[in-house]
Amino acid sequence: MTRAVLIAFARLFITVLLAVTFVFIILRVSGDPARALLPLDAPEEQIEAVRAEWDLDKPLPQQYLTYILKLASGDFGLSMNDRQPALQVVAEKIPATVLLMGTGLVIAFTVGSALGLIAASFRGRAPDRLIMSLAIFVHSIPSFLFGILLILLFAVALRLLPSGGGPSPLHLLMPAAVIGLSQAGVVARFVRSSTLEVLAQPYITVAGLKPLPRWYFIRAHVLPGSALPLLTLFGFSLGGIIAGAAIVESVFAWPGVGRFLVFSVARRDVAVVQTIVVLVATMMAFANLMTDLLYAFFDPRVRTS
Amino acid sequence: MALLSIRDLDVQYPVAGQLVPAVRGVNLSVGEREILGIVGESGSGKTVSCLSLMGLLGPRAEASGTVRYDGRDIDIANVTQERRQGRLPLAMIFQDPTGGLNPIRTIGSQIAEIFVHRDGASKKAAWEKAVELLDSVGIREPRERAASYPHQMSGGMNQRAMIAMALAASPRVLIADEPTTALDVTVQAQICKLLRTLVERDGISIIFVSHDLDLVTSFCDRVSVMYRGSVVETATSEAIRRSPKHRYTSALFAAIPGHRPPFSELEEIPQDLDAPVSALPANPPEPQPRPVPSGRTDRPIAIKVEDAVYHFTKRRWFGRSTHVTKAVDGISFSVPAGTTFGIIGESGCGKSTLASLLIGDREPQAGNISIGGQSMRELLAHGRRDYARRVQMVAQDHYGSMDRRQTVGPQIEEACRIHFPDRSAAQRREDVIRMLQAVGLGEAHYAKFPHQLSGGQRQRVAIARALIVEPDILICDEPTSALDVSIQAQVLNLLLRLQRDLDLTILLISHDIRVVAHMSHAIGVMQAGVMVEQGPASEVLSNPQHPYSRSLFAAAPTSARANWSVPAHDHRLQLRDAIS
Repeated sequence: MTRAVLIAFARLFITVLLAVTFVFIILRVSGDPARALLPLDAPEEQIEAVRAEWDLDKPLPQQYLTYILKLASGDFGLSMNDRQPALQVVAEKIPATVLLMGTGLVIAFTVGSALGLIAASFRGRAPDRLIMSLAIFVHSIPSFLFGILLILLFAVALRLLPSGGGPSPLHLLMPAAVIGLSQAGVVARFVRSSTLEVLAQPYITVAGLKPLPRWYFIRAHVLPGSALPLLTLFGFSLGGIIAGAAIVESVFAWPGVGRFLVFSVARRDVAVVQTIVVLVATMMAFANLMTDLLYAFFDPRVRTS
Repeated sequence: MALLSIRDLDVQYPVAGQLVPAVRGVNLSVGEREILGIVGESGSGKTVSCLSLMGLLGPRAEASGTVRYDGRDIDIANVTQERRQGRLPLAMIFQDPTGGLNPIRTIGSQIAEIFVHRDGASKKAAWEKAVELLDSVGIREPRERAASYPHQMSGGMNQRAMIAMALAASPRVLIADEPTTALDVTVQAQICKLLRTLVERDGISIIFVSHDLDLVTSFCDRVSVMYRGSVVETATSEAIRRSPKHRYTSALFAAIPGHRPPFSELEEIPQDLDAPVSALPANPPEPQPRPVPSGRTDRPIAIKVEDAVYHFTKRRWFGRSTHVTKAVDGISFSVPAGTTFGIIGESGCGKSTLASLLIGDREPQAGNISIGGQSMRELLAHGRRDYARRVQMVAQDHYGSMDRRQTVGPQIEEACRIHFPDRSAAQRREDVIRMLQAVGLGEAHYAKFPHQLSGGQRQRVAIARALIVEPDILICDEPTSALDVSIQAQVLNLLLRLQRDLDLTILLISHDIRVVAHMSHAIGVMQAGVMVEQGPASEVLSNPQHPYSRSLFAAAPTSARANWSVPAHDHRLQLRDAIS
């Protein structure tokens, strides 16, 4: 068991290292940050000066090595934009994004699980078909379009909610709904199929023969089996939500990491982009590690093997 | 007077807008402290009858009939309600014990929850009762086992746990639907012994459902034989065994290997589903005893295995702490051309690994295998093609071993195209049709998809596909285990005939001693990767030397041991004594 955890952590480290390397390469082959930072008509000497200041004139391997070593010591570099430590500028934006993603996840998993269970218990009948059609619809509509539709309806036409900005509970409602509902569709489909699969198991027939109250039968025999696959989905959908956050935050002008990422990429703020990607990659890898550990915790078949 | 009976049971299922009967006018009854056996092939309605007693038919079924329990009539529609309210104390166990237990809960908790929710017992008291029950069904160290999960226990242990769980409902009648079919034969004997204990110790009656006529007539007190949705005969086991009244029953006996002399033709029950029962042959003609081929030691050796070894090694990280499974651990035997060598063993003994070595799927890690005097290594050095032409295989899973998206004709032809490239397309097609005819099918089957054929027909196609390349050796790994007895008879008859006509050498692997005994000239008994005993069939069967062979043979249910010249005993006693 401890060995398995150690291996998982080693894998986490490798994942993060790969992500960091990938971003380092992408940002350096896709354009000159020094030119992006300065006005178009800046003289060549000024560009060279900026390059020298940011180590951009050194050979790539050296830049890479310096960067990795600095990262390892917790130094994420200075934002090129305002010369603040990149980690600090990014950290300021994290709470807003965590709030948004957390609310989105809660919506996704509560709404999705409930709808999935309803669909499963009405298998093949009208509620099932309605829920499954809705699930496909909300998941296939692009989130920026969904966001704009919500803004048109609740902010422009009904004037109930602010169209953007934040962070406050009122500002939170629409972006969290966009994130949550599109993932809720996936969750609902997952819960429906895993529930139906569990209901077809022989052990459900056997348990159904015991004199157990209905609520206990569902809680003790149906739900655990049908909820287990959700752990896998959780790891996956976290990625989807993070990717979606960049778009949704931009649409709703939510002051979070996602919008900041889009902004920083446009400005070629290498240090900030790298910082965000390292954080996201670490979080993703960590979420997957947690998924595996939770599986071992909940499923005795995984635990003992 | 019967404790529980069911009268005039009719069950129909809607299929494509029409109601199709599953059982028609079934009457069954079980007395106090009695074991009633229900025997029949798949589709005979034996399981449906049991499910209707439990109220488990499902919402789509249309059922009518009356259940009579302890002198009180209950309409079939009300059995679920009556059972839930405790007025119909029935419990049921199923074929797959491991699947019947919730995989993420401990065994103990799945029993204890009954006491908590039915009797309002405290968790601790309920757990103690669960441990007691596990103890009463013969689970050793019940306290430790109660905290185990199903995947940590063997199939036999799980079936005991299922029985304990059923007993928690304090049933008067226990319905057991094929409770031993998924288990090894020695474990089967132990479970049967346990069920008999329940009857004698706890006064429970049992309805025991099985496809195995030998098992049912040696274990149960009374037997009902079902055929195409009806009960055709009910009598004591003794009477069924001695003088079956119905033609189907006697035909079924005649289809089981072991009731006729080895190598003789088995009864084939007509398969056209619309024929009435009366269309069966009036009295099955007595089989013509064929001279039993002797060991035929004069023949050249076709298969020679010398000290073959194959171990599965599970390597953990960094090559440390390895776990070795000795699937084949120094096995030697030889098979004269044109004879059958039968290998008997229980699950996990390594018999299928041995088969994979022989077809060249795996190479032995030590030792030698030679085919027709040439070593396998040399033969395989020239590529697999020549080897594959000489050694072919028929697998157990007749459906899984076929391409579902292709008709069977081209699948048979494929091997022909590889091995005989100079034959013309028309000639190959002709060959395939001739081979289909040889296995009892015809040209009409050439363009059929696997799902359009019955299990027996698919297994014939598999045999045709193996034989089309004119091999010398046929490896049959459990060729009839997935088939009904009457279909098994057809396939075994076919193999016997083909061996005679084509002078085939057959290596037959089976868990069913009756099949091996019927088909083999020589027999080997495998246990844990080792051949513990081997020799001419008659010697091994009539006078087994190794204790494992003895317990294995004794555990096999058969009412026809005479043909093996095993000393006749009371069969029920034999089952009890068979505990290793």
